[in-house]
Amino acid sequence: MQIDLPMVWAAIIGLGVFLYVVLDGFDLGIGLLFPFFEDKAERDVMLNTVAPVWDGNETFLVLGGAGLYGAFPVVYSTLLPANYLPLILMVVGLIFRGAAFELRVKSKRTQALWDLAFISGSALAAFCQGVVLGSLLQGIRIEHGQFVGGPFDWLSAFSVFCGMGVLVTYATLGCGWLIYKTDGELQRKMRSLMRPMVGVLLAVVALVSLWTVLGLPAVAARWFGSGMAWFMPVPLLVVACVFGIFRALRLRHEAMPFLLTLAICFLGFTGLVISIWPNIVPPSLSIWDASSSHSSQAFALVGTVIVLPVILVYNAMQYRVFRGKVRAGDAGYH
Amino acid sequence: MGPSGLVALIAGWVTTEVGRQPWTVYGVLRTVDSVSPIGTQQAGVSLLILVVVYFLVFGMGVYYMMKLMRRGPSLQTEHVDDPEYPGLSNRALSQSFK
Repeated sequence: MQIDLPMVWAAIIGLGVFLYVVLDGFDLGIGLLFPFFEDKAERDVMLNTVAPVWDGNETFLVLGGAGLYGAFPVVYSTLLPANYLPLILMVVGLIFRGAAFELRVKSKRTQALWDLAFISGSALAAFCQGVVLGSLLQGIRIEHGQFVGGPFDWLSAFSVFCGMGVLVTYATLGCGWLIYKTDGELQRKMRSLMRPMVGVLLAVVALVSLWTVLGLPAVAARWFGSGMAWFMPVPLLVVACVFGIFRALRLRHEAMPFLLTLAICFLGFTGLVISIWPNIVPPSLSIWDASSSHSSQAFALVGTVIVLPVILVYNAMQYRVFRGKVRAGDAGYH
Repeated sequence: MGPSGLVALIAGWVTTEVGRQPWTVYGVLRTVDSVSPIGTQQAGVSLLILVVVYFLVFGMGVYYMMKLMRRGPSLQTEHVDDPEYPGLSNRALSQSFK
């Protein structure tokens, strides 16, 4: 039996992108929640909940990027130049945020400055990721395997709205994570913040879905075509998750709001795949068109099959080692 | 002598990058054929952004390093024993494996 290598690679990169979005999503979300909490002690606790895991989470951005480079070079050489400026700004955001992680705890007079770097870096990175997502959805102009659009093709009302949508998604993930990782007064504040946050998230998800279906006939044809009965559970489950979160907040569940927010992200990702499949870059570049040679994909797969489980295991281990509540006055792990 | 290591590091990098021109992959792929489809303006703007960011971040880093060096190493004389997490005790290395 011949293995369909492009399918295998699409699955690996899909896994990498999804893990990146939810994992770095919740720690970027901490930065987005900082403006709502001005107390230094509270901010310390919020930061300490992600301090041991945030850079492990960013590993998956590298996995996604390097995977594209090896397995789908056409995507790498078209999607990235098409989104050159937002991606550069994303990296700048991540630089400031990363420096703030290390230096904020050590600083005294300049702490306000590093708080600002943490907030703006997180917001810039999250927003730019949403813009790239929006620009991917609306399609990228490719001819003969080359990007042929202009430097601002990514900029549209839709991509800017997607940017804001990702801000809301990450903030909600961060809020759910903090309900799980804190207790007492801070947890109570997070619970009351989670309610409006989830409401806004549902509105954003609905608007982005509506906008894609109305604006892109190909997406509408996919969703309301022959597979409609198969795809309908996706939006219904999103609504069910939102109600589940409200219920979990009322019943004082600790992990459930976060887990259900993860589920919403998974459903959103599923919706994205349904909308663009079998393309990897809309409107017309399929995963088979974009593949590198069979031998390149096979060669890279051997390494990935060995390394990916190792990465997953040590990432799971770090969450196990640093499990439990984080409280004010705990030693920070930076 | 302080920064000489840094100078050597960067000089080595410049030598490899300049020395292999006009090739990206020596003898296989020319630099001119491997350029991304982005304009000079975009490349220029991003270079400018990165220069500013690097100066800011490295400037702060150098400032903190200087500050730490001025302060000098601290003499930790106090003995801390942590029975719950023995790994966090600051016993002398010779006593760590009892």
